[in-house]
Order: sequence, then structure tokens, then C-alpha cells
Amino acid sequence: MNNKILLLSVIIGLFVGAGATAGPEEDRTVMLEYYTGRFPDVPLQEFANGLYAFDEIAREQWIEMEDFPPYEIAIEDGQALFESPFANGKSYADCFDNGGIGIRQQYPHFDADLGEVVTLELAINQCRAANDEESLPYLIGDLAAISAYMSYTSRGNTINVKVPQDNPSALAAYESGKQYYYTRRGQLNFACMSCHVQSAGLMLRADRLSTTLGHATHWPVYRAKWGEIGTLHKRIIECNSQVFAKSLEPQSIEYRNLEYFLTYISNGLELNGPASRR
Amino acid sequence: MNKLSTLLVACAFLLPGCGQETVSSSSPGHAGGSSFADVYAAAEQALAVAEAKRNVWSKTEGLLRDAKAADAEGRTDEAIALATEAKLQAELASVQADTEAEAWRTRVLSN
Repeated sequence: MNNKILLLSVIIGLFVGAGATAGPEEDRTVMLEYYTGRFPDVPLQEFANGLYAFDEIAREQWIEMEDFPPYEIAIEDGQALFESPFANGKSYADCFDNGGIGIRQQYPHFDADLGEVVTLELAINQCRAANDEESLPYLIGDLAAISAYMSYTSRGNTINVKVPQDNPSALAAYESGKQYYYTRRGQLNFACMSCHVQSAGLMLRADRLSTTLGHATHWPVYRAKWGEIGTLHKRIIECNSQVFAKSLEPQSIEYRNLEYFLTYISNGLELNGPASRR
Repeated sequence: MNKLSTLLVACAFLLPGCGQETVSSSSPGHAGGSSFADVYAAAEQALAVAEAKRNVWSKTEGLLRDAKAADAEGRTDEAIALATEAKLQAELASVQADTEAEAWRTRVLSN
């Protein structure tokens, strides 16, 4: 075992323990300490840029890609869709606070009336349903474009997901997302944390693994390997597939709860979506 | 991935529950001598159990489809082998879900 791997093992060993009963803020603080300890030269906000925060070569390529952002068309399409009235004359702006502009940081949130976590993408389709419009597919296409536009108008806003302490159902949803994150699944028997905590910053074949801190800041994303813009749940499905686990339905309770957990962990970071990734 | 390597990879990660499942799978009268219909039905049942736990491996359903196709084309031995592997995968996924119901807690980051 070389010294780097030994040191990494010691760091992980110091942090892994009896955190299962910790509350959201303790989870976030521990995660923050873990990553800032592991990547001491990376400024906090840089974690919003994923692996480009600590992979210099990949970062150079990414900065070049950002000269002509591949998600720009999606933003324009999304704005046109967002501003197009429904058949009843209303529009998306009627469904959201502040006319839907600059509000991504409010998502996901726990809807006490519904008793479930509501993501922005779910809220977009809730808006359509409330206006007698058909639901849009959740992973790519028009919904991802609308989400991209809404993210664009929210750039620079700080994530501030809340888990209301007076609502046990909200805490249960958060805990469910946390459990999903730490649960091994699939034929390869990997948990989310296997790659994004234990192996964050290391290479997996040709790719460097990103940190969980910052995972929720930049969606939807144009991924070069997709050749289009896609939502966070598309990426989660891809993660499942990579460990040979059958994926769940997009916007399933489990995925929404996972998004709740992931986004809470990134509280305090600025939104910077949509973004491009390899 | 063939059946043996599937089993080895899975056992490496699922040691606590793997022994039980392996004994069960190799019990007399399980696959050897069973008809394709029996093995296929057992695999479907195991898959339904894993599905109920929301923990199915991604190749299992494809193995069952391939098994059905092989049987339809008269490749019975291959069909039984594929269905047996699907059953094993489904059982291991169930064991994984049961084990992880508590094991996840041990890897949560903490101070």
C-alpha cells in the first residue's frame, strides 16, 4: 500500500463511524469537514464545479468548453417554453413564487400538505397538471430545457434547503435519502459514497470521481457523453446502471429523497446551473 | 459475466448472506433435474421478491428474457442455465437489500 492510499484510508477511517443517527446539519458539517480536509487547496465554492475543482487538465478543457456553452440552446428553448401560455391562457409563471424567476434554490423542499419532497422538475409537471396540460418526460427534452432556464435565472443564489424540525415526515424523507446514499446496491455492490466519498478525487478508468459536496448545484447538465442536456435524475439512473443496479423511476420517492439529502449537503454553495460536464 | 464469476463477485461482497443462499441454490432438487418451467418460475418468484425490496440488479431481467428465448428455440440446457443465473442474481439482490437495511449505518460519515 503506498503512502497516499494509506493516508486516505486513515482519513476515511477517522470520519466513518456512528453518523447514522446524526441530524441534517451535523451530516452537512461532517461532510464539509471531510472534503475540505481532503482537498485543502480547493476554495469552498469551487466544489460547485465538480471534479473541475481539483483536476487541472480536465478544468482547462472545461473552461474551453464554456467559451461556447453547449447548454445555451437549452436555455433559449427553455425560456421560450416557459413563456409560452398554456391552452387556458395561464403560464408557468403563475405556478411559482416570483413568476418562477430566480427560485431554484427553493427546491427541493418538503411539501407538508403532500407529505413528500417536491423537486423543481416535479413542480414543473405539477404546474402543467394544474393547468390541464400533459406531463413532460423527466429526464431530457422540454422539461430539462425549462429547468435549465429556471436554473439560469437562479445562478448565484445560495442553496438553502430546509428540513423543518417540527415536521417528522420531512426528517424521515431526509433520512430516507441519506439511507439511499449510503446503501450498497447493484451487482458491483457500490453505494453512492463508495465513489463520491471513499474514492472522491481518484480515477475510475478515465474519469476522476467528484465530491458529493457540490453535486446538487448545477443541474440540469449538458454531458458530452449524452450529447444533450439532462436532469439530475438522469444522472442518478446512470449511476445505478454503472453499478449494475436496475434504476428506479425518475422522480420516484427514493430519488426525490436522495435529491433532498444531496442538496442539503450543498447548502451554502451558490447555484451555477445549467452546466457542462464531460 | 458467466454464472461462476457472477457468483464469485457477489459472494466477495455479500459474505454474510451469501453462504445461506448458495446452500439453498445448490440443494438437491433445486436446479439439477428440474424442468425449465420450474426453474423459470422460481426465478420469476425470486425476482418478484427483489422487486418488492426495490433492489433488482440490472442484468437479471435480461437473463430471464434470454432464458425464455433459448427455451423457445429448443436450447433447453442453456435456457435452464440462464434462468438459474437469473434466480441466483435475484436471490443475491434480496440478500443485499436485507443486509443493507442496517449495514448502511456503519458507513455514514461522522466525527
